[in-house]
Amino acid sequence: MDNPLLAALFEEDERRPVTVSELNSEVKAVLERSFAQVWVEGEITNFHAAASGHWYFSLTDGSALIKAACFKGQNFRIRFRPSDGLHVRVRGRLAVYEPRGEMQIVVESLEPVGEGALAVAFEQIKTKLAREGLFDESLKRPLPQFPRKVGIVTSRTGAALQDILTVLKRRARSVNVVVIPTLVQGEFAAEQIAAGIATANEFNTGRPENEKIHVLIVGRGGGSAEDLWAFNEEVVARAVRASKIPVISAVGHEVDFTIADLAADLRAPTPSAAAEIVARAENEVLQLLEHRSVQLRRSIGNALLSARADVQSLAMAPIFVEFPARLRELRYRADELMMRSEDVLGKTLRQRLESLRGVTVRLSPVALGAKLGENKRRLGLLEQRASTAVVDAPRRGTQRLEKAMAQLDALSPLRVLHRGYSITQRPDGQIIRDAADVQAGDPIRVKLEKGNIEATVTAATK
Amino acid sequence: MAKTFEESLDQLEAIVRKLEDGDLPLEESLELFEKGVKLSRDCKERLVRAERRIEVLMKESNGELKLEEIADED
Repeated sequence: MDNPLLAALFEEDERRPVTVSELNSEVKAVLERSFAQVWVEGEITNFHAAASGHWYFSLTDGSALIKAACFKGQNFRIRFRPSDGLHVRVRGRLAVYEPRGEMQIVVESLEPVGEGALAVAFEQIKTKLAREGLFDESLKRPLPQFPRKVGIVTSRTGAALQDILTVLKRRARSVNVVVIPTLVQGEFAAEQIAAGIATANEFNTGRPENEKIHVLIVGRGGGSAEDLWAFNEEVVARAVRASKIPVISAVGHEVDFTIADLAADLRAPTPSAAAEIVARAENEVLQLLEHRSVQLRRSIGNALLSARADVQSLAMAPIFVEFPARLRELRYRADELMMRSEDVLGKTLRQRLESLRGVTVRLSPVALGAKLGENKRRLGLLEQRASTAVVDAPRRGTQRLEKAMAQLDALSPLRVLHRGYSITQRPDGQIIRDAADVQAGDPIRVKLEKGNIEATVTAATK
Repeated sequence: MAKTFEESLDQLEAIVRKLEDGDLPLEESLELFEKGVKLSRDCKERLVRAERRIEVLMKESNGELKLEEIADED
């Protein structure tokens, strides 16, 4: 029997104490063989994360305690960070450290009791980042009113990209797409997603506004909590927050809530919903354009109506309305005068002829024989003058009247325009009488007999 | 088309507001109206006639960005 421990018990002759090393070595061999698999539940105390990356703590149930170690090679798989007081279930093996005769559990996996590990991890990251203010509402940026280009950080082969493209194809024909392919699950996914967001921002640097990515959709299709985990990692949340481009998170299904959702400017319940949000913008802008068009037409309609009213009130202006009336009145008066002048002249003439005849009768033919010839000749002359006067007077009157009317007529603005003159006005209708009143470049309106000419002063000579 | 879509929209809105405020000479109103109609037509064309481009953006190992167009397959 070469086991020294047993030999010491049974072979009296060769009895000798074992060394501590031998004892510890034997204990180690026995314990580690017997407790190669342990599953133990307890509360964490004395948790310590060493600089080396290993974790050390103790597990206790209140009356007993055992040490535990979780080495770096294992603990990177554990999403949450253990802390004192946390009730956990530990899987591992028992290990004995021979030099000190101490035993501890070497932890292979560790899971909170009650809530799942991921839930605990989620809460821990959420609490930490919330305390930093990473989720503050004040940091949320509005999405661009009308994104012309949308960046999509997701798997190039995943369902999310197909869903997004399908929606955009149907609803937003004008939105360009830039896909920034990344892994969306597994060990390296979070780093890649964060890098993808950074790449999109780098793409925008120095680019004209037209060509920039205006909004980012960061997400993936549905999966298990573990599949979606990358979107809960701190590095993704920080990249989302650091992005200059507003971010819409779109992870999994409606019920899936991630840290990325909390950090994003907007959470879309699914990738399709994110695309709908972008598409809705296009629809809204189309409606806005329609509305603007209606406004334009309505306001120009109003302007035209009011201009027409202006023209009408101008046409009703005294000068245009009263002048013809005045002309008519003058014409009546002229007619009346003419009639009266005919009366008066005729009467005077008749009276004079009568009295002439009287004189002629009264004069003796003999005594006045000589004078008669003379008188006859004068009478003839008088008669001639009288008849000329009778004929001429109305004619002269008419001539004067016609002259007056022509003068009046000439004064009519319409007549003036007809003669080829024009009226030059400012756009506000004020008549320009002095070249000094305008300057080169002033808009003017030239009113002609028919229509207007809109013109601009090229030079004004004083 | 140096103007961004949003700039065009803003300009259109400014024109509408100016027209609605009224008090402009008719000629100026008409000028603005024409400009507005043109802008809204341009904007709409940019929406309706635009052809979608789908590109893939990748960062090369040397740190350079690479943009590659892919087909918008059905």
